Amino acid sequence: MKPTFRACMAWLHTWSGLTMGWLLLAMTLAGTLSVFRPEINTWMRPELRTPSTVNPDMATQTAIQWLSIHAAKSPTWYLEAANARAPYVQALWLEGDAYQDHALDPQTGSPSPLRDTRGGDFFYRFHFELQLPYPWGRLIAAVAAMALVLILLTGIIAHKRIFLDFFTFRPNKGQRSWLDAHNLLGVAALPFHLMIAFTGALTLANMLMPWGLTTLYHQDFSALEHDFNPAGIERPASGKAGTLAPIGPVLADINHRFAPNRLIRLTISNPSDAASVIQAIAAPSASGVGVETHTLSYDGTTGTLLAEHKESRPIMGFYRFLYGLHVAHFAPVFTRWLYFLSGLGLAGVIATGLHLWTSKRCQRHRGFGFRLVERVNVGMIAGIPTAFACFFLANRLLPPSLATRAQIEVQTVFCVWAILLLYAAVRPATVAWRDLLGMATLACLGVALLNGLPVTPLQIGVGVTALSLICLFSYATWRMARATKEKS
Amino acid sequence: MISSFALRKHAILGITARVIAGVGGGYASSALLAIAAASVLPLSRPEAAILSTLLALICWPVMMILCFSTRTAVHAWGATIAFCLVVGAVAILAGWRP
Repeated sequence: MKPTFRACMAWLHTWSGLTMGWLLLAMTLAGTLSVFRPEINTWMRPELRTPSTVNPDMATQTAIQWLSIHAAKSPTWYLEAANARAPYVQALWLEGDAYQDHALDPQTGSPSPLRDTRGGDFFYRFHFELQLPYPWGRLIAAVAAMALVLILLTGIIAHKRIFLDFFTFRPNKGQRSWLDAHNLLGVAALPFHLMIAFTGALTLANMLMPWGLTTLYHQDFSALEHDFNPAGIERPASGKAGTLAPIGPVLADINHRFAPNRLIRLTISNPSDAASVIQAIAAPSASGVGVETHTLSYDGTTGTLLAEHKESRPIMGFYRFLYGLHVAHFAPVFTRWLYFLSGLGLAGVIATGLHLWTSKRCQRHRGFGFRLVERVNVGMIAGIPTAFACFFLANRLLPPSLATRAQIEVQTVFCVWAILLLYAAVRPATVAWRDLLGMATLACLGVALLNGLPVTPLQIGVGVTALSLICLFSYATWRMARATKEKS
Repeated sequence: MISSFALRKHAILGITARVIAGVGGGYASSALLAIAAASVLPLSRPEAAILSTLLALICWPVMMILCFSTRTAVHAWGATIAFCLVVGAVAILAGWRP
């Protein structure tokens, strides 16, 4: 008998979901945290003063002063401007052969008063580079994003009752309840899930699907660069020494031209050469969704405007709009929370889906494959949140002056993750669920305690999130503890 | 027992063929679609490059679904190859050379 179209799609949904689910879960959780990357960055640098005292232009000026003394030899400086969410300048420069990526104190311009940490950038980078060397991490992430598009599409075809799923949840019915939860979470933010999966694949499209670009541009990278960034000025170093023009008037002109938007990124190439160029990119926050829609280039030594570009090409504008939808730089605070909650919802869909694969099969033959999936599920679903929470703990518990502390923070995440996976592999599944969920509760409790009394909006946000997770994980621990007792 | 094993083997072969058609053939289809669209679309270079990439990104999951919805794996391969030939021919007619 020929299986129906819907049954075929359900099969494809199940197996593509199982093979990509764990990777997608890690990427989804990291991406969800990246929504609050500036806030996490700030939380992880408690040495910063309160945001209201920081003038972004002053911070940029002091940062450039510090860089011109300490990083004059770097061919380029990349600066992320300070704002209310992250009240400091994030700068990237080349020192010898190694890139330095540091937050610069807004008062002194130096990185030294602030503890060395990757901050929220760890989650942001892990989201699409998976802590793997270029280009492998990005390639795997791009394939995973495409797989998520496929999994979502086949899932929609396999489930016939999209509308009814909204109102269906039957608790305490075992597999039935998990399927209800899977459908409910999936349907609740379905347009968001489809959007974030497709736009995610799009952000890495040059790795995944470069064939349209290579057909039209062959190896002509400078034409490609010019078409995508028409106001970019590529000027080789002249070899003659030069000094940068006073940055204050340049910043004033940038702010005037970008209004009502503000400056988000400043790139200064050949900063100590006579042929230096300053490029400024606007944040889209006040006027639209798209990223990099307004760009300016200035001559570095004279401070005169060389080029200005406002995006008006329809398809390029649409591409920037889709890109902007994914990275959500445009989003005001309420929208950001919606992104965060929908992202958690997607993580929930993936986790319940992975769990369904085992709960559907627990009555049948339990082979090696079943036990493998069951164990890895525990280590991933309970392990990833715990490992990520440990990043927050390591940030506050490691001594601020410790050498290579930024690396140690990152290593903490992967060590904890590996230990939890190992623990889940050697213990019976119900016991491992109970213990790992208990650990997740404790880790979130630790974050809530280190967060201190919620006074600032940042502390309130972190506190509420940590408390919600504590409730969720402790309830799950309690349920699993009951299940373990009934079994024994 | 032997017949059920043979049946399973047959099913595994069919599924493997569909997976390769969907992942590999689907990617080839999308890549050729990107090339054909980039060569044919009457737009400026950056606009054509972006639109062709967008079309290709939609094409891959659709080809994947197609490969799992045909009656047999042979049909899946036939559809994939036919699609590749058509978009490949369009690309070559528009002046693209592999």
